[in-house]
Amino acid sequence: MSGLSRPRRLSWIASPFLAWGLHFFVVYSLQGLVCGRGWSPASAWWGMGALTVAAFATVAWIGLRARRVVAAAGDDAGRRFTARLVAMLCVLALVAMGFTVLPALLLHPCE
Amino acid sequence: MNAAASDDPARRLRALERIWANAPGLRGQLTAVNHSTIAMRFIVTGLAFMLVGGLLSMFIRLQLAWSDAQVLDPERYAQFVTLHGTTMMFLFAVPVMEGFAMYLLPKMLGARDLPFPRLSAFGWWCYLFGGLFLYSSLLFDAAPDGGWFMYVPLTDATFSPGKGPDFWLIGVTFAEIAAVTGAVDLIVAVLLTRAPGMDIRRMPLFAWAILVTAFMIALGFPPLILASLLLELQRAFGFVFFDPALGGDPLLWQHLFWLFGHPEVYIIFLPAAGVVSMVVPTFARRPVAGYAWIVLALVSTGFLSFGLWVHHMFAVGIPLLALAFFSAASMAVAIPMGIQVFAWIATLWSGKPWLRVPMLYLFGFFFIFILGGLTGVMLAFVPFDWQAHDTHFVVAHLHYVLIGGLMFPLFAGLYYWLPLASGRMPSERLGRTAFWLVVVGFHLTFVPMHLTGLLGMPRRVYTYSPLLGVEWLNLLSTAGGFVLAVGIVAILFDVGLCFVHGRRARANPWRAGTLEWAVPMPPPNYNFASVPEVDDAYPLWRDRGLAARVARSAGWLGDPARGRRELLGTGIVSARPEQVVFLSSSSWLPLACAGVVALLLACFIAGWYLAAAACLAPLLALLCRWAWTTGWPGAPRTVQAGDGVELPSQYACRNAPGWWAVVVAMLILGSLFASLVFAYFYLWLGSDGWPPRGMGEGSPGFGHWLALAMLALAWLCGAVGSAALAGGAKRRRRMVVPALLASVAMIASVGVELPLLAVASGAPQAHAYASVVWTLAGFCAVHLLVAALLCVHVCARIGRRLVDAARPLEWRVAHAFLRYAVVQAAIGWAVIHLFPVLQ
Repeated sequence: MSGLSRPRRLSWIASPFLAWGLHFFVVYSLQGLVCGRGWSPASAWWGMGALTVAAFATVAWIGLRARRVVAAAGDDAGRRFTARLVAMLCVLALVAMGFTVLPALLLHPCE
Repeated sequence: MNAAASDDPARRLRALERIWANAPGLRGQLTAVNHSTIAMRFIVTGLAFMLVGGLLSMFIRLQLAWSDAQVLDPERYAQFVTLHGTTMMFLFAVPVMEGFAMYLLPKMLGARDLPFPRLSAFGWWCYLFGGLFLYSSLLFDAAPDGGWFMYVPLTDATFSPGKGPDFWLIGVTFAEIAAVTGAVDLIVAVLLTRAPGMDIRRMPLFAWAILVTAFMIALGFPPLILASLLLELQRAFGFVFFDPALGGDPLLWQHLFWLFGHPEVYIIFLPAAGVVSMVVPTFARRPVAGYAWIVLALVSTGFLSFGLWVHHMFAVGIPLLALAFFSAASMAVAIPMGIQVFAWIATLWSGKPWLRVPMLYLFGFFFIFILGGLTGVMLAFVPFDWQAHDTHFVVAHLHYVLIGGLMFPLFAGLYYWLPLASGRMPSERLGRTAFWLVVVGFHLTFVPMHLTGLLGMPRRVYTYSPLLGVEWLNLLSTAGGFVLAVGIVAILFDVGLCFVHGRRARANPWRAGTLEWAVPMPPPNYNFASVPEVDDAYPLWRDRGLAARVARSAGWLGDPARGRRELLGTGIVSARPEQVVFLSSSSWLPLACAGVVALLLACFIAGWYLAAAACLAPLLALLCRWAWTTGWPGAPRTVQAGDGVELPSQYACRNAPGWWAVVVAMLILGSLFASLVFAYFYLWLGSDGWPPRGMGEGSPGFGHWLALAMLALAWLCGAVGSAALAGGAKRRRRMVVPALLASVAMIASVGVELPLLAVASGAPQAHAYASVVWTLAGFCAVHLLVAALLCVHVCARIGRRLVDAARPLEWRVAHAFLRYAVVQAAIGWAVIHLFPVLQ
């Protein structure tokens, strides 16, 4: 965890929702490309599915890593606070991602 | 200052007074850069614009009181609606909250000032001039009338041939400079100038809210700045970004506008939420419940707010799945908002609430904002939005959110911190009377609008059909509006009265726990005689002797022997002392720079383009002077910071404010560039052929590859310069030569690329492809030229021995910008030359 004692720890707090933002942007762009360029709807579903799995895995990995840091933080209250915050943000980011991508299961990409 | 003087506490305080004082008289007013002075100006100017915007709304309400009222003709009505919305969003809500943040943050964080005082002052002058620009349109009978969202094609040169939209685009962009410069200042302040011991779990929640908000401004304002630039290019020079006949798309404006516009709602709300998180614990007499949950809510709201913009465009014909993404995100944002509300309720529930005027306003906030949030969730449902779109239901919703979410916490904060700023207590009786006038007036005004909207009354229209049966509801709204106005005037009257006739306040009158209340009331310009050290989120509750200790000039930076304005810089996460930051004193430069920018923009509006271009020369000269004189160029490498501790000055510190300012600046510029690249691909997506027949040139030719090679050379030279510096280069030539070579390479790259591109892509008026390619190339070229200039500046500094291996800050800043400009230009090059080949 030597890297976490450096300034980048603050950017660590942003990482779960950066993943959410990236996922949102790419999924929305993919939908626009499929409809704008006349690609097959299957490519949209496969693409969105793969992106969502990748985003979920990334956020889950960040969250699990944060939990390990919480356990290892010991008396370092600042580090424990940051790691716990990141873990909580991961849960919320997963909920937001699932909620946002849910309509893709129900609707045709270009109706 | 001699040593004997610096040992006497009273003389130390007098020395601090002298060092931090503004110059006397009018000169002092024009050259002031101190954060308290500048922040007060932001607040007073913001409240003045609120009164003007409110006055416009009174006329709007009078016009709508009856269906056949003749108070305003249709054209004037459209102008007043436009100016009302623009004023409240751009000239009141954002600046007034930034003013609060500028005033309070240094005091809450235990700092003496903001890290970039000249930048704050420059921002305020830009804000003032931008606002006056906008309102000067009334003098020329050219007030904008296209709505505060300025949709095209209504606002292009065909349908709005006058100067109205130009006043809007240029005036608002000018005022936005203040928001963006303020964001840089506030981010760096929160990251680097916290009191020793104030690590991130002890930061005041207001500081968290401002940190998130400032990042949102850094990323959210650039899309609107870009959109304004594109529309002005279209209006002034005939570019065709939004003209569908020539490959443009009017919806591009809406995307860019709302990419800014929806985060803007949270940019307004989050600082207000920060105010609530400060006021509630004081009046509940206990620490806030769920500190980490509130931080979580602030961070996640900041991100989610960037995924909602299309919910303003539900009715434009976007595929249902895309609408559903944004509908879902719009509902998801209710989760973090709810978390904050529950945390505040839990704090009050478990505390011993003390019902004073600030708390009254917070109860008003809870009630009104939650109602506004609920109608927001209703509007997030696409089918309901289609029914209520562009009706007064939306007007009611947005006023519940903005007045409930901004103005009530703002008034709570105003009453809460008034004793700090004035040293006097406001009138409890007048405060309560004003509160009830505002609450009753607000509901009388806006509850009926839900009904008129549901009954089909359209917004932005100067009249309505009497057959709708909404006349009595409108009359009620108008009457309520006047009650609301009387309430707001009563608040401002009370505040003004407090400064003159208020009862003298005792120290920390609300018995608050945060650091701003350790400052003498009213605060001296230097805030703290010595920088405090804290070990709790509510240090005054834990350590009752703290206020007395920091009033003595002992401890961190207690000795003003150097006669300079100094800040203590601390670690971003740990808040351990790391550096002493030397600030600039009062200066004419902020006013002079803003004045020249105002002149440049005035010439542009008048159509005197050569004169506008000529203004660039004095502006450049002033900016060079600014860069040359900022801080304390001759500062030693290390200095005494107090208690025998020696710290590096910012010029020798890795986490220097200047370094983080350039990082934030790159975020802002990156957002601007990303918006431009988005525009390119958005136009490509809707095109039949890209590039259109006869434009573009297939694979990139030798000249283009040469331009790219020049970029690589500039990168390489930058790396060589940094290596020489890191290696402790003894001979100045080892640093200067690569820096100058990098400059030459960047200028050569621009010189080779632009003429070739101009020939290949054709006139920018011919097709949206050419418009966007010219803009993209010009954007990258400007950045390369600025990077080249920065390198030359650093070479001059090296020549004067102000930059060397021990004081590398300015080279690090220039090198970071060089790398940014080169990477940006390489991406721009790939978009322009490779994408058409690969698509």
